[in-house]
Amino acid sequence: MSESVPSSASPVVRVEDLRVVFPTMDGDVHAVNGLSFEVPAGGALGIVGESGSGKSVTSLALMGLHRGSRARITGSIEVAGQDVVSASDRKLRRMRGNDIAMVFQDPMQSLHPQFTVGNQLVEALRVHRPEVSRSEARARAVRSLERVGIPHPQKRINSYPHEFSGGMRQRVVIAMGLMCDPKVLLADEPTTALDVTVQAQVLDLLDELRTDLGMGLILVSHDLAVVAGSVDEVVVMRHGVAVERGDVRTVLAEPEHPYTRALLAAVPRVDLSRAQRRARDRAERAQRTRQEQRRSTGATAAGEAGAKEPDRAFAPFTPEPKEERGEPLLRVEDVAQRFGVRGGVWGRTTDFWAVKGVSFDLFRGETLGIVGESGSGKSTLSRMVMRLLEPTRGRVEFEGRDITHMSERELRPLRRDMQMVFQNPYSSLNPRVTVGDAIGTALRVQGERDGRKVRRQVQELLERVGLEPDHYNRFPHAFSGGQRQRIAIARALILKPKLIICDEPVSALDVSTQDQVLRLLSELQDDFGLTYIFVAHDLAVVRQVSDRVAVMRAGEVVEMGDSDSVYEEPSSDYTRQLLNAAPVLDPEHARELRAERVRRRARAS
Amino acid sequence: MTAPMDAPESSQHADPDAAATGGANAANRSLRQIAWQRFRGDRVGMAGGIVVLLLILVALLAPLLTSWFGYPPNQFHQDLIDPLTGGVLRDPGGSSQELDPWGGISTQHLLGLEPVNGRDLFSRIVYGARTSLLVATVATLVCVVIGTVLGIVAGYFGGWVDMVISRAMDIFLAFPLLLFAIALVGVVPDGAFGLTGNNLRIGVLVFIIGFFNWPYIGRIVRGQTLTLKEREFVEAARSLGAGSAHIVFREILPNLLTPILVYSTLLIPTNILFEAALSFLGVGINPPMATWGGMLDNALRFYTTSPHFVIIPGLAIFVTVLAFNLFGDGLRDAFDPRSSD
Repeated sequence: MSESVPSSASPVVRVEDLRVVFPTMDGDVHAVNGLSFEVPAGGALGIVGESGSGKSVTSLALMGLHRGSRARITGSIEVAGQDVVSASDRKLRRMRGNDIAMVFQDPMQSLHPQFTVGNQLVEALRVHRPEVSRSEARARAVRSLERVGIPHPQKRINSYPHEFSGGMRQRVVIAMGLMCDPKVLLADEPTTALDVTVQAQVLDLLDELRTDLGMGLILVSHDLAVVAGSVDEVVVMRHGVAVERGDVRTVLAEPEHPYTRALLAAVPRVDLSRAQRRARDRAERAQRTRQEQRRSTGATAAGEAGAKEPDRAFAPFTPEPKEERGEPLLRVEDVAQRFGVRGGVWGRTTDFWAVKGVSFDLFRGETLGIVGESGSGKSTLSRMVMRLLEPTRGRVEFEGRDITHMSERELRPLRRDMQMVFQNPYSSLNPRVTVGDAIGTALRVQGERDGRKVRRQVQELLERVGLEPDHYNRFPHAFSGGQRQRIAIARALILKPKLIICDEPVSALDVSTQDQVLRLLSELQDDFGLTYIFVAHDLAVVRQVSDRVAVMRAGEVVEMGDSDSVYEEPSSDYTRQLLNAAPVLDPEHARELRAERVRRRARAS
Repeated sequence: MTAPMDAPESSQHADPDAAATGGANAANRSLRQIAWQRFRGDRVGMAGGIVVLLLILVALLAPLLTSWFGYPPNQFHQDLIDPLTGGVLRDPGGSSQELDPWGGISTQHLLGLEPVNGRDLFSRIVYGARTSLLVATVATLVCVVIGTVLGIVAGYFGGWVDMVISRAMDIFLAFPLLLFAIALVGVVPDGAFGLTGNNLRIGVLVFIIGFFNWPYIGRIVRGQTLTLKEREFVEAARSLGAGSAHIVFREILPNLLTPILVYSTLLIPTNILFEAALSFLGVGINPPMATWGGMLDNALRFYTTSPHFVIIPGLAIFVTVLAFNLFGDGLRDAFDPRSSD
């Protein structure tokens, strides 16, 4: 475009009183309701909010991608001097990719699988600059790939997207965005689909590009910690409204709006230990119970029955002395799992060991955290312990009984004692089965025939996990993610198990909901003396719930020990790398960590 | 919305984002209600549904309708027919031998008359609807039952079971169905299976159509079962100690009802066409029982003199098939999870 270069003072993106309304069957939904912000040239803005806050709608509106949908947009959006709301489709097309480039959440889906990345990069440039020759565009594409840190760009330019890993693919998407030297890069949850270490690399890259190329950056995320180290200014959104906006340091250090404060309080911190968190949760719970008791002092019977129970349950946390543990509840010895992977020449299957030789003991009342990135084998391990998979090698003992090769029929009575909470509350509940039936299934499967008894027990449990007893007849789709996970927890609890395996129980949830679910799990552990295996990729979450932690990588445990010592003094290099990559809330600390990562990388290359 | 979630009270209650999914009333609606609401908004699908409903009513009330608006379907009205050409006279009883280009459509005979025998077309169309819908629906039921059972078994148990059933599906689909039908009709003796005459013919038609079209449903069910059994809720049921029967009937089958319903609605028109084709070829229902295909077969000899005789049964088939297809498409859109939130 041949307009005059905007002075550094004029913002490259200006949004004023933006409103986006979607007409639906249940009336208008105000997805964005009066949002205003500015991004100066070369500046970085973070837009943070939970699901449904309108942050993604905002980023789509910035690109003018609501054209052709039924959304009604009012207010003004200016990108590089161009009014997006009123511009013609032609002008919009010229703007997209040229002035503002977008990086989407899922790099698996934002690249075309049938073309080489080189072709896609060349295309991105030639759409806007048809005068550039093919060879010139190709040279540029190589430079662009090199810029985002793809090794051997000369060769890799001819690769197809599926030949790259997730992190590399996201780099390719960023490289594509860079092809036309845009003035702003809009990244909508660019790292949500990626592992921690890869996330850190991509965020570092975005930061580096911004400083080197003087490009504006808009970083949209649900995670305050992701944004903290990468932006100057932050907008906190809720229900389509910016509840707080300001310098990232001020907002994070002295949040003004109660919502921001609540959000910050809910973010799990990697530097907070389990003992601290438990103490806090128990204190809050005790206070809550006291309040409730005060409120209902008239009830005499309740006072007598409830008085003893809470005192015992809410006793301050004291770690059990190790000698008294006795026999372990669960003993896992050198288990391994092999999968046949089809592929290679003539479709021959090759062996892939998802887990290779993991051993641990688990004692009653203990929580073992298992952390690892995707593909580390942590889910496979938990499924072997649950005996949803039969270990290829090794031994699993539960309460002294060898369950490694038990048949489904022999396992059935044992299923009472071992339960699982799954990762995705959207797929772990059958959409066609009412909540009450879903929870009651366990009782029926285990031989309970009395329908009224099942109903009563389910309703009691629904109340215990923070839902209403009359939710019994509702279908799962009527519940939010957090509520669904509560239902899933109730389903796991109904048989009063001894061991619950939580496979990423909070990774699909918003931070605030995540916090509530973690709290619930910890309360239930206090009340029922549960033993947990807690599998997650989020280091901070694992630290807060685990007594012991096992760090997994490529099917092996690289480090296992007392959770505080693993986090404070990691012995393995990999753990240190993970901890270093974990996003932190303090912007200064985040920058220090980034500097350290850059140093480490420079040393490595 | 509720208070910020740092307030300890609220953490015990429903999540603050519970209502954000679309108002309080959305929470209490079942999936079926949501689908119904969406279906009501789909005018084309609704129109199809209404026509389907009317057709079913027409078929059920055929004797009543013909007694009100027509004549018994096999009553001859040869006084209205030109004995030479077989066409319908414009002025019966008069001296003119001129033929009626409208085929005798009048207040007496709403859709005119059949050539040669002069049977009332309206009555025959109404009774034809009976035959068509009966054969198509029962045949579809046969398809659905066989297809669902074998599809679930193949998808759920996998391995060699899946191999055998999937190959069987391929074989059934590769079968030269029309030739087989023609051969079978010739071979089955009257009185076989305790059925005679047209009852036997209907039975044979249902058998042929149902028995050779089940792989269409079977493949869909198998595919759905394959994905459903990998879902976490099935794993959750297994971890509760549920056996195969529970998983198949309580966890998987309810999720298959929608696709089965949708595809059977789309299979009915195919089967109607198939029945018409068989009757047209003369291997379907025997005259004088009214069928749309059979009427078309007769009509072809008179298309120059009595074009209405071709057009009216043709239109009946066309409207029925179209209505079922639109209805099925509408159902699919209404239940399709991709078009929901």
